Amino acid sequence: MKRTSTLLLACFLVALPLVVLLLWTVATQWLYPALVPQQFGGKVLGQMLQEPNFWPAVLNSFVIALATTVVTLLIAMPAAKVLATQHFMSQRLLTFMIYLPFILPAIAIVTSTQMLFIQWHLTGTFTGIILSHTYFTLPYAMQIILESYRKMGQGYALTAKSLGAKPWQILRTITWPLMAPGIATAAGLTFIVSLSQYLPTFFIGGGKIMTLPLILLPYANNGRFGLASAYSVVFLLVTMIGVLLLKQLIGGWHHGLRN
Amino acid sequence: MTKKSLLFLGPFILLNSAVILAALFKTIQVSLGYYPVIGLRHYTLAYFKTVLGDAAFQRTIGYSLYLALVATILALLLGLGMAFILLKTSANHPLLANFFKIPIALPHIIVALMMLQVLSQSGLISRLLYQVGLLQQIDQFPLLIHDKGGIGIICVFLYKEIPYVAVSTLAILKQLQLGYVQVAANLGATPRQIFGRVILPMLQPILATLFIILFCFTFTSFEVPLILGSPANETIAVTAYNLLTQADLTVRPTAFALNFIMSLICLAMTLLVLGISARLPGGRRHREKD
Repeated sequence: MKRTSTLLLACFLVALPLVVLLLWTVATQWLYPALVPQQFGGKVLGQMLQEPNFWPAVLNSFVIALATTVVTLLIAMPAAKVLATQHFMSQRLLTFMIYLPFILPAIAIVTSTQMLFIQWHLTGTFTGIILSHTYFTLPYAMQIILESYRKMGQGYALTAKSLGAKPWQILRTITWPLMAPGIATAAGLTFIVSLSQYLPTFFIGGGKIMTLPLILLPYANNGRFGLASAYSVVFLLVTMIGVLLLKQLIGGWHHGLRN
Repeated sequence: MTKKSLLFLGPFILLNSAVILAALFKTIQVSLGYYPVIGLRHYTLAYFKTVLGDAAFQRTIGYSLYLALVATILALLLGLGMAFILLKTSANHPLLANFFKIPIALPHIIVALMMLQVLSQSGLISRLLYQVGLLQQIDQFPLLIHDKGGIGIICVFLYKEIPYVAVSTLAILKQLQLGYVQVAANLGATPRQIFGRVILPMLQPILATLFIILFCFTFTSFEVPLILGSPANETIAVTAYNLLTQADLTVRPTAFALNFIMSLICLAMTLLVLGISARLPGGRRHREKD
């Protein structure tokens, strides 16, 4: 009973700030010391929709996160396949290498690669931003996909091969169905991580390419609670749409095969 | 290594190891004073001396260390506690257990905004205290945002990291519950032996990993202290950001020296924690005493 009330309390503490955030998006007047807004309305939402940067930021965020997810998976899947069964370096060194982006300060990596990206004319471009996001999302994706490869093992694929299956048959009927849940999780996480990046988008994009965090941060910093909350809700909606879409795309193929 | 595995690994190495090495090379080069864009071509340790000798930079580093250590240790303790709670309750209350995990997916900027709306002097808690008569004036509410102690900043990290630690350790706790503890007790192990031989060896490696990830993130985090921090007490990443966004390029070598020093602190802390973890029960280098 005591444990359940602790869990209830924890959930209440999680929910409270979220409710306040939602209330700020629909409040037209909420002066101190009122506990709930004095007036409700769609004024803040209308104001946000009329901002010239709103739709570009939503679209840019979505496109960059989706492209980062594709690039991250295309890089992580073959790399994880090799690394899951490799014997040329110690497992500990490999883990350390994959996790280094979690350890090294983002601001140090972003600002020094920015100097290289300037030389290569990648600053202010989508390519530059997507590549810099991929650096930050790779450890998350590698962690999950490596784990999936290790769990699957090589047994099934080897059995199929010795029974005469062709490589694409093995991929289509064995590897992909077994890997799909892990890949869908990795894709969703990559999308979320890419969408919330501020520093790489700011420094590599050079302020030319607007995304949701780039608009949200100054509003939050200046205490523009209404607008900042409205952008936050849009942000969360874009996250949900992206994650569900990726799950459908990756999981869908998997289910299609089964039937 | 075959040609095929090189081809498979190449892009990963390019975007992971090559980026790190290139960034490290640039950081060292510029922080040592080689920055031809503004005519600096002579290597010098002057910028490192500036950063390490200046009282303001020292304060910045010390303050960031304080925030990172407090937030990380509290998140680990409370997260582990919540993992025990989830272990016992998640079967009966799956909905609540899943709801508790939501903060993991929320971006730091949004959580910082939410803390602003709840903890600031005109925030929800202040309004609540006013309504029940505990406050007569708004400025009687203690400063929790832009304060010297960084309470607001710590709250953001706790909000996001307690569920993260709970979820990460829950899997291990489930294994423990599957009988290891009972088996040890049945075989006559004392509570101390059960802790030292069963619980600690299974839990400490994941706690060490979590400590490293959380410490390095909070120590150099930028968005949260920017929104909630006190201008008098800057954190290390905010200081670096302020230097690096100036039009004046002559401050860049100093900023890169600061970048290099914070990277070194993160690496040193990582190696320290990995070293300690390896020597504890369950670690690679642990020696049985008896």
